[in-house]
Amino acid sequence: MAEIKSNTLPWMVLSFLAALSLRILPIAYPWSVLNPDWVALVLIYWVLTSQGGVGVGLGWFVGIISDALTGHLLGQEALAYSVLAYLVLRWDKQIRFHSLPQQSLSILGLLLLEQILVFWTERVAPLGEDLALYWLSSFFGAFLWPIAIMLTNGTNSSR
Amino acid sequence: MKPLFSRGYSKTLRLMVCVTASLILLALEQQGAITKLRTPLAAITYPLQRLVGFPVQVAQHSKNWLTSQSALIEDNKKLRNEALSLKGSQLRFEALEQENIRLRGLLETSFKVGDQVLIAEPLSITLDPFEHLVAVNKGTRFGVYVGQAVLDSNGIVGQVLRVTPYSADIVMITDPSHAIPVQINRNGLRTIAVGTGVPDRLDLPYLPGNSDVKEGDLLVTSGLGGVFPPGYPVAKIEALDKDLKNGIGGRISAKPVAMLDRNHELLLVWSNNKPIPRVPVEEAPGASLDHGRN
Repeated sequence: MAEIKSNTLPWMVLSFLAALSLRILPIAYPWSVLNPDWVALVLIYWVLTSQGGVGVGLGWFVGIISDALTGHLLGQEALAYSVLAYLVLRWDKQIRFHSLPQQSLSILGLLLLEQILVFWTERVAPLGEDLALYWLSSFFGAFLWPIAIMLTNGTNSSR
Repeated sequence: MKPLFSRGYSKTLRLMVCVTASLILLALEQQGAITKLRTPLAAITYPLQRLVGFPVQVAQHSKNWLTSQSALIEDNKKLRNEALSLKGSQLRFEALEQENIRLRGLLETSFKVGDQVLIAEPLSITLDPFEHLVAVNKGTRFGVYVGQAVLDSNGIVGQVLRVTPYSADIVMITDPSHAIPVQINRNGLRTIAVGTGVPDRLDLPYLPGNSDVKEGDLLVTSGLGGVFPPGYPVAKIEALDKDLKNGIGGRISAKPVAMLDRNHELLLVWSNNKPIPRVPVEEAPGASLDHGRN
């Protein structure tokens, strides 16, 4: 995995500070809805340009700061940004070789996904209460998967 | 079946760790298990919030410098007139307040007066459709507490949601998860005003369609629930929709009187929870304000 060059680090820190400031810029109501998620944009930029040097961990860290700054519950944007960074890492080659309008479309998809994740975590109030049992079925499914593969016999050992 | 993307596995593992950590944080904070974690984070966020607020302050200061003398004189004259008329009505207000306390004393009911306020400046405002928050520059070091009522010069803004030593998050009355007990000033009809997620509208879902509500009615805090002190203006009833006028139901909405989306001073209120004694004769009217902060 490539390391970040030491001369880009100050720029990275500065750009994130600028993006965080832009997020809480006091704008009167009808115009404030246009203020984009600068932190997500900067994050996508650095994940794309550093070629694997930064990624999920940075997204999470910046997300926690952003959560504290914008008054979200801690973990909302951390979750969204780490997923965002992961997807950009996965698709970085496709995104970088797209033409600019196509890149813009990819960014739209990523930003919308980020908003959906924040929106979802906003509404998922009973996460730790009785509804915790609701998620249990997925864990059990994951546990069953290797057994099912072994039982179907051969697909696992043929290669 | 060999995994095809073993190189990408560390990425996925990191994602899993980050997502799990986020979910654990979310669950813990929703149950109120971690309140201290925001204080160290405020060390990063507070300077940023001050930084963003700085140009606004500079603009305000430079406006002070660049005001012309004639404008100042005119302002001064206007304010003097306003102060005079306010003083006049204040005289009447004090007399009425004393009379009210005396009458309530005769009726053997308790009455709360004497609110103390602290001025706070907003650091940042969040107006997502599902979250209306404003961060201010006063925190626990100034005695701010969770659940404290917040006003501006026009009316109720909201209540304190979270505090750190030097800042506090305030949830506004228009936040969709916020509800405030109100009464109609004209006839005392009590109900609850619920936030809508739109910065200039509150809903009154618990009023029946045939209730006595008119366009322009002022909603004031009823004081029920104990969070908001009674008698402060909250919102004005907007134009009633057509269904309502015809008496077949429909929604009643109101427009908050406080300027919720603007950057200006906010007032944090300590209301006096001690009931006034039945016949308050030995205490001077101003003295009750001194122990307002409790």
